[in-house]
Amino acid sequence: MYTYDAHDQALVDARAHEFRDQVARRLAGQISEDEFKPLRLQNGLYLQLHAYMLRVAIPYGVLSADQLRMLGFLAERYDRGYGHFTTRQNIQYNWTQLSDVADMLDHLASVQMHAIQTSGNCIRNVTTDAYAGVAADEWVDPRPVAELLRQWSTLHPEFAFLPRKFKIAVTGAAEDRAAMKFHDIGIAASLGENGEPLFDIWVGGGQGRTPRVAVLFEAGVSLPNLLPVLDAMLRVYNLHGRRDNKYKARIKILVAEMGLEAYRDEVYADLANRDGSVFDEAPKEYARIEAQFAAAQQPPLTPTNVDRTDPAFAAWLDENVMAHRVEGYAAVTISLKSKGAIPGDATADQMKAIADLAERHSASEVRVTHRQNLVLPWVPQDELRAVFDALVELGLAEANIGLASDIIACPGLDYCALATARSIPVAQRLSIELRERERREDLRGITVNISGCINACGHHHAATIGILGLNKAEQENYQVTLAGRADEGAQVGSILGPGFDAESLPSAIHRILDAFQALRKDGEDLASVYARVGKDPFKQAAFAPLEQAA
Amino acid sequence: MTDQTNDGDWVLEKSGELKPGSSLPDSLNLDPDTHGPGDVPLGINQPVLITFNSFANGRGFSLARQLRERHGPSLRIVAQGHLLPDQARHAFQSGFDEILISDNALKAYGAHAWDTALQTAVGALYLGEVSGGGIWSRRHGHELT
Repeated sequence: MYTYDAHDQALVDARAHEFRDQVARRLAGQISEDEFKPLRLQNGLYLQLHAYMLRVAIPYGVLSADQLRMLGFLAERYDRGYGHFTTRQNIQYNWTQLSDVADMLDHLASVQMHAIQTSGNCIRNVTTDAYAGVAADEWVDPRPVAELLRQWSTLHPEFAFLPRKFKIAVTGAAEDRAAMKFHDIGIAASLGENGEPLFDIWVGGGQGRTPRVAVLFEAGVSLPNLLPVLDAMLRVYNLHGRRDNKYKARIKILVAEMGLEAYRDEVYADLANRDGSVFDEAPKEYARIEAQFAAAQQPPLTPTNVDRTDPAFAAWLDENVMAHRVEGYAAVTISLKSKGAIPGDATADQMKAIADLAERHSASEVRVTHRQNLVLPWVPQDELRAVFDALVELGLAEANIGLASDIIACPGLDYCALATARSIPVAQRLSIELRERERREDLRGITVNISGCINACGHHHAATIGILGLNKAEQENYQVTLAGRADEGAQVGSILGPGFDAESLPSAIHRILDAFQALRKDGEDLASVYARVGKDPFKQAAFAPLEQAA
Repeated sequence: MTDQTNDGDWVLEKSGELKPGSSLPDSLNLDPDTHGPGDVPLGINQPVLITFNSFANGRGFSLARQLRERHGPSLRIVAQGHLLPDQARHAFQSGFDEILISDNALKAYGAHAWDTALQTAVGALYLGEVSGGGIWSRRHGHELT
């Protein structure tokens, strides 16, 4: 893991102190709520339906046991005993008091954490593959470059008041587990001929009301050129991105309206006019960071034949345990999607217990996944049974990673001031029904993502079955999209047709799955079936009973 | 782009010192929404005044940085308009030399708000300013003075 030195610590301490002063000035009435808003947002503080929500950064989803224990403490002390892990590998506390936030930031700073740039129109927390450094299909560990980007973007004076928020994701493996192409900038790392890291830069991805898959900006960018190019890309966006309409302010719109070639020309024109010497130290900094991650890699162990005679344990091994790049280890994904659970929620006690497990069985390390689960990345194979038994005790041994019941959901209308419909009850009901169904049939590769509004925080566009909650004549209504993908073959799902009310939605989902099972050949996934047969068979299956009833 | 006087009543300097302001009758005034670095001729002797129409619009920071990169330390770059005290850090770290503050803005935020915000702002960033510095330089032994 990356460990702060005195410089990192001083910066985070200073930022916490600065925010304490900003809160004090707001409470004293010296700045208006309008003026306070961008300041609090840049420190992860939203005003939601019922209370302030604090979003805490978990840079590239990596946590130490002590950090997770602190997150549990904050949930207990300052929230209602739980927190919500998000698709961008952060955690949200939904019931915080403004007067407590500065103290929360001090607690976070004490374990090298913060809430810097977890919201607002700035560069957000950089995300990556939750299995970085341990995945067998990895070419380049993306964490060093993610940390380099964290440092570059932190409090960057030019890019704190961008036209809109800006999200960056990094991958370094064959499989994209970070939804890289649905980010404003996506970076895919690979190894060059001489073993040096090279970076493909993608631009203009995103979801919301105008979903776009990113397009390739430049392939094979070298490490010394990476930050200069990114800095120029952000500058051109800051100068030319639209500010007249917040729904057209993301970089995907700028690139679409300007054209990729023209955008690229502007970026390189800016680069040609700058003194890039401020970036001279970046490769050295990358090497320093890389050395820290390399030092934290664990030595190989003798492989173990794990006893699979217990069917429950065997099922958990099959679904939740991933092959490791280092001999003798496994990566264990802890599902936060038990039947009927709120996706991504964990209680304070669960967080503390998982921190203990990480200390005992995973080199004191935990990861947060894009799909709102947690990972123990360094479990010795001969300790898998002990981990499973402990998770059973905690109610966290659901064997459903990568199955249909492993649902992504945003907080929706239960918490969010922007939402138009509830996500959580829909996810809870579907998780119960889909969990039952996947015990009987193979629903691997089906992703169900639920958003409570068009902003798409639940990534519904990128799911094989996406659900978008809308308000239709003051009734919650759920539009279904099919065949979206968040992986390396990213694509935006297609709208199936009119929406369903909350009551009829689950049965419609079942009919879609029935059609999928009837149509699939040779283990095809849903996106492949959809590509082969088109929308009509699914539409007919979903709507026919409703039309007959009408 | 116009040559005109501005309405600054106070000047905040990078040091945090707030002084009674003086107008800039000979400044070259830029609106970051419509002007770019090409509007400032190389070798110009006039100060350049960049107006922020809204604190939420950060174009002025990028424009200042571009000008600083192209013209070096000799160009005097001054900010005015709708800036929050907390944005003084962003302005100075982006290349501005001074911020003009109106009497009304000074009263609205409190006389000490600008200096307080600047003093409590995070000063040491990873990436240095155009003139050098920054955490990376200090870490790797190339601190510029």
